[in-house]
Amino acid sequence: MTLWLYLHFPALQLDSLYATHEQHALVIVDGHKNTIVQHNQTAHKHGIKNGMGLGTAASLCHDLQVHPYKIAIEKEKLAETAHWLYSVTADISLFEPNGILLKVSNMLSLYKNLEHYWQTLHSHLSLLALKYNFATGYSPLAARLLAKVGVNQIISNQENLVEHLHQQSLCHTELSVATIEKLRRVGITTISALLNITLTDLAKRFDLELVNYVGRLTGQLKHPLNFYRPSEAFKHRLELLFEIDNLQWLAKPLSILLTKLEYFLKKRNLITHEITLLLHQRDHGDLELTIHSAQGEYQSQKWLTLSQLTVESIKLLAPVQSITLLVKHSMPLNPLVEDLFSTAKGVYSPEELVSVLQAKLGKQAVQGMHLTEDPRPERSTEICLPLSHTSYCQHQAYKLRPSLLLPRPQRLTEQVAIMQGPERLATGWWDGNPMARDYFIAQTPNGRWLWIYRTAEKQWFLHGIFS
Amino acid sequence: MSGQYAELFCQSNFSFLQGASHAEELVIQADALNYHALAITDECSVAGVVRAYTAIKQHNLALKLIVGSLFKLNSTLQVLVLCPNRRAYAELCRIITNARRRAEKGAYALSKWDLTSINHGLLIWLPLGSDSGSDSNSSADHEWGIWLKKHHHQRLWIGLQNHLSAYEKQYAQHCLNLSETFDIPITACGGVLMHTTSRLPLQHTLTAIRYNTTVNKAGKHLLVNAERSLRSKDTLEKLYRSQWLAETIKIAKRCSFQLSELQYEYPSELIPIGKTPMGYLRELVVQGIKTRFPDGIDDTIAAIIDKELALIEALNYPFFFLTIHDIVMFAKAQGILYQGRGSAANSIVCYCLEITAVDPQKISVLLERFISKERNEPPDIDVDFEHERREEVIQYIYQKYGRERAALAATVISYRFKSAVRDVGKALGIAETQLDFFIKNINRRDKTSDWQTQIVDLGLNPGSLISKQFIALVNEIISFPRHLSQHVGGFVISSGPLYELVPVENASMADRTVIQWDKDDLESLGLLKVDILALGMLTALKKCFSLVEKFHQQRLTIADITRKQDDPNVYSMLQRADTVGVFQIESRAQMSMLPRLKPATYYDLVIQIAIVRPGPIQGDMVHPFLKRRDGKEAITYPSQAVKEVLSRTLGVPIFQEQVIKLAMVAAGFSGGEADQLRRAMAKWNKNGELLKFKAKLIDGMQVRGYNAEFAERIFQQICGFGEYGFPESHSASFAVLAYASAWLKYYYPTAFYTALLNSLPMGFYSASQLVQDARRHGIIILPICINHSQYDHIVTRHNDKETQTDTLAIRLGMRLIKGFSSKAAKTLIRHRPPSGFSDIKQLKNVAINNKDIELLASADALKILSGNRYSARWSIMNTENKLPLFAVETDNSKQFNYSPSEFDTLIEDYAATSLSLNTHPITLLESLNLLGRFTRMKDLTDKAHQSLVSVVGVVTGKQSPGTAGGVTFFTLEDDTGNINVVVWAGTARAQKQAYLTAKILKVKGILEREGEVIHVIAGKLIDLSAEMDKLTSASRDFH
Repeated sequence: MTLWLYLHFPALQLDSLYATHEQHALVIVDGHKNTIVQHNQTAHKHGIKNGMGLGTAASLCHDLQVHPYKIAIEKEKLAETAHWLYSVTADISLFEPNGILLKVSNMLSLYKNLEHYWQTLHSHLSLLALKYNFATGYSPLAARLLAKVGVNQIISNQENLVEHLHQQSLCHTELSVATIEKLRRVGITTISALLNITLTDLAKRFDLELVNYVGRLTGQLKHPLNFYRPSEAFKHRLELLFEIDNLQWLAKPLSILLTKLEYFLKKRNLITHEITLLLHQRDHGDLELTIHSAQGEYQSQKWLTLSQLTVESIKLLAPVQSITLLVKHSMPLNPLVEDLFSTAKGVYSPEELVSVLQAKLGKQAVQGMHLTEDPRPERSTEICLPLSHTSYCQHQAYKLRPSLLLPRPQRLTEQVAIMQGPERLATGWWDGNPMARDYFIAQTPNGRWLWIYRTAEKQWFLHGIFS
Repeated sequence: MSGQYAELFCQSNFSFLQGASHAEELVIQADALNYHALAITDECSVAGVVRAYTAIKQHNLALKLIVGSLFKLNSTLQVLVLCPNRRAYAELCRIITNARRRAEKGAYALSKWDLTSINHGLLIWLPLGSDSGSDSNSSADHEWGIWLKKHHHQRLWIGLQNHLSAYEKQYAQHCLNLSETFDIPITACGGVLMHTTSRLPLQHTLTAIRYNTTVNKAGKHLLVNAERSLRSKDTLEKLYRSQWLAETIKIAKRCSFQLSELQYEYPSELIPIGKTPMGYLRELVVQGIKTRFPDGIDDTIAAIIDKELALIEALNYPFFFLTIHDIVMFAKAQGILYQGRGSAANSIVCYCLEITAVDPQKISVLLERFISKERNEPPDIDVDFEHERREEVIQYIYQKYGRERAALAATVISYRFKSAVRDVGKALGIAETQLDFFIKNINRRDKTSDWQTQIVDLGLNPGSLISKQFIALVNEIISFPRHLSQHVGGFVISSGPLYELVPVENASMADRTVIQWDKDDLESLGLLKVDILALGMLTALKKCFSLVEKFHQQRLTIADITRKQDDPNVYSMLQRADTVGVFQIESRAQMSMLPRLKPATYYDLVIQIAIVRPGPIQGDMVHPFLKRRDGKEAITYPSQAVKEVLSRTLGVPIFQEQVIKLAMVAAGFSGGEADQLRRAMAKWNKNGELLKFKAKLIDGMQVRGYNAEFAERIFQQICGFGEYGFPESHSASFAVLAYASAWLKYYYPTAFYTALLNSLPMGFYSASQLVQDARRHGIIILPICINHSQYDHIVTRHNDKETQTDTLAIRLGMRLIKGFSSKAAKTLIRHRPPSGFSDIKQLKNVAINNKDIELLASADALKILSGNRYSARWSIMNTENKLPLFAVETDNSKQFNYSPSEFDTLIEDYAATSLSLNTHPITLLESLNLLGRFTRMKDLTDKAHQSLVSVVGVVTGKQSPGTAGGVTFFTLEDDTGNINVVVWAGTARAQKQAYLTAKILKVKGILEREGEVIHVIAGKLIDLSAEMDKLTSASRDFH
């Protein structure tokens, strides 16, 4: 029979937060049920338990930090963990969002014995600093059940394993709540009681789910599994415990990611010329930074230095909540050799043109522009990444606006004749930049059309010039 | 500016999430700006006009109010309809009603026909213009111009607005063109949404809420400036040509309709042909005297009746009494128990009309409380009916008067603190989890720090811009109406179609319609409503009366019980606080007051019911009353006038009416002012309206020679009363039901508990608590049984094997089984053989489904057939037997021998029926030595006052009344009874975890005894919930 090992990570999201200290009580809350699903040690000391409502938890501890549960984070972390384990063990199956199943039997020929295998695995895994429970079993489901209840035993003795299995309550199984309840209502609450009934008797009273489960648990039925295959790209995300608005503080968490990258590249004997850093900003889009290294590099320290240079020139729109490190190519890219003016013009697609311009002038020098819905003229257009905004803001487009807007309004010094207006703009209170102006279209004696405004204090300014 | 202006286009906040000012603010501001008139034109609604009307009256404004409404037919046509006269108003109401009734709640669907059918209203057309740069709009305007002109060549204007947007000049030119082309005059109008420019942020916030976005993303939906506010006439003169402004006055002068013209006409079919309403009422009263006073009446009573009738005649209320009489006569004929309450209900006229059952001779003290001319309030009669049968009464009303003539009053659902925090926070882009956190953690009852301070403690940065905006906007939006809902039972019935009086719209409940006004609005206009309310206790009393009749051959009515005079046995039970199930005085707070107040007469009960309310408690009136009652404090009155008001409550104001009366006799309030005060009290949290009365009240009292301290105290008491003040007139009716239920509990307990159990959900206690209370009173409770139970709980004769006596017992019914339908129960009982079912197979042949049989098994109702529920379920679950071929074969699958433990049984009992007649959890836990040393409830009587005790129980109740100063009352249930535990805020705070989460709690504390009532003042709280887990591996709640 095949021996399996299951690793259960009960607090994967919590563990993947960038947490170096445990000063604050921290909980992960399932937004749908509004209950605590993970909590740290400090929260535990306050009497917080999993399954508790957020309201109760909040009243037990006032400066509670609350993070919403995100299954995507756990899945991502789980894949990273599988990837990590891949260097020491072969057949890995993911049980999303928080479990990993390992086929042990095949590995025993590589390692001295089960104990040695486990030691290697354990010390490798401990580098990730994740909480986990584990158990072995002679079917995937048996190992999973024992791991989830936290027996934390690595044994291969079949009798012992069966004995352990039999003691377990049904409420830790993968069966649906309704089935568990139905079983309980005829007095079946443990695995042993369940296995005591013949499959025929069960089939008369229960649906296929239960029969399948029992078959797979005992190993009578085959359990189809998909095994993990590593990808060639590197992608890791780190959730920050605190939002960072000063990029100086990014170095620490970044170095964690870069160390992982170094490990990844070293293992594969690769270097990369370009890494991409995604800063996930609160209520704003991701800020993407690409960092180049002309000669190619794998060492985390070098990349860190390069990153810091780039990061220094970045302005955040909002605090950063998490960061992702991406390496798309681990092969050097061919530099663009064509001359901008040597080929026929007009054959570039917009994307090509942008990338050529960026290559020639530097990324910062090429920017796009789009209309916003903000009524304030200063904010009615916004600089953006080239080609990132293609939607056309109809509402603003209708307004008669000058083609040249002065970067800063200037005092109106010449005599003008007012041709149209006023158009009153009195808004913008919400972000601390309110304005109250009456705009007019005016003409100078020499025929220029100006966009001018008057403030509430009756001062006149020039703000734009019509073409 | 010398010219005049009338604003013809103004939306209040009853145009939900558009208007950003209260109607009251709008009229005050318009008056201050010296407008000639203001039209309130909410979108397809007149819900805001009464507020405006009342404000104008209250503040004696010179402003003229015009009633109108804004309609959007589709994206290209918007018109205002204004009411020049009563007929136009009826027309408007009809159009709104039609448009509203076509759409689901909250929406409307106008049709072209609605607009063409306007024959009296004035139309102001709001052309789209071409400011958005599209030609399609101006061609749409052109088409509508032709259409409008065709149907309304008179009474039609173009409404020209100028909001200083980019294209005003072009728009004005466009309107001028339309005006010339179609020969339609132009009038200026403002499109007002705010009474002042400072409301712009709130208007933006409302817009963001409306489009379910945040303010900074709402972009094109937001107003770009604050011009849609009430602007000064100088400003308007600069924006509009003078003839356009003059036109507004011409239109306004044509609008002579005033809301005061609305006359409520009662349905005439109530009066037999040839009789006058008053004559008919007198006739009915004379008849009533014969039934109510078989021995005739004395001169005093006769004089009172004459006085009451004279007043009814003078105030022209006979129809009101006749309408209610008609409804209660229907109820009486159908055998539906009912009782009237309210100021007018406590009259001998109402007693004679059989609206109430309170013998007025017993409560002579109340008679002065009849409606009075000087108090200027409308007569108030609410009628409570059995809650399970109220629908019959409602259907009777609909049937008798038709849906055109009867509808429910609206209740305006307004922003309250939580909804305000949530909506404003979302609009400002604050994360929802954070808002949830704020809402959960802000204690609005905390008197030491207001919510603004608390929210800062919870992590809102007080210095940041968003926090300041958040706090200001939340404060502003609170009390803004959000939508209309239906009143619990206030009916408006009219003689003609109701939709000519007020628009009717759909309620969320199918087949229910509501009018657009709430009860305050109706009151303001002097329109009367009839309150048809549901009361669970009446259902229980009715059921109890039938059981008493069946088992004791005694026919009872409420009036029979009250006529028996005060019964000392019943009062002594009340004084012991043995009141589980007794109407109104069964709550923990009431129970703790009973031994102190020691009610011994009917009027004591009236006080008892009114005194344990937030009003009197917050106003600190309870302790002075108790002291005076116990003779520990002298009863003094500052004057004879005050004495007359307060003497029946020993000088302490307890009832709402007394406070109002005090304002009149001591501070010289007029009837009208007193009425305003009464309304301000009802909603004093809203805009601090009550404070406006402070100066007048205190000055008035000082002028009349009362000292400042007394005056200040009275004012504080009024504030304390706030919305919680309880009227004596209602208390008096409730006391009758309280007494009747107590009397039944004392004399016919078996019938009483059965009736209560059959009327659930109602009252304060669950079936489990009622059953345990019944058992403590020595009543035998028999379990649910497939062969003996009915759907309802029943009283049954039971032969007690121990004593060999035949007694009455309660047999629990199948209604207790969660999820078991009454239909299944009926089928089952219909097919039950006279000798009962003999095995499960026989049961399966009856036409009820497996799920229902399993439910019966779970409730252990099949015990008689199969031993225990586990084996019953095992055999039910076998699907093989269902196949016809196997039907005859016996079940050959392995028999399943699971013998449940007591704990299993307990869990099952709670899961299936929420109560257990088997071993109590505390007994179980104790038998396993898991509880340590403790005293049981029944043994607490032997403990000395102030001694140290430990008690253990299942936490069945946890209440922290806002009035109790941080105290939480825990009810712990052990196997001998309920223990009252008092937990002080400090104790709770120090032991938060046990306080908040324990299901089984051990409390070490000090025993306090007051008469026969025992409290334990908690010191240490120990959470023993985890011990339950030791009983089973399955972690399940037994609640």
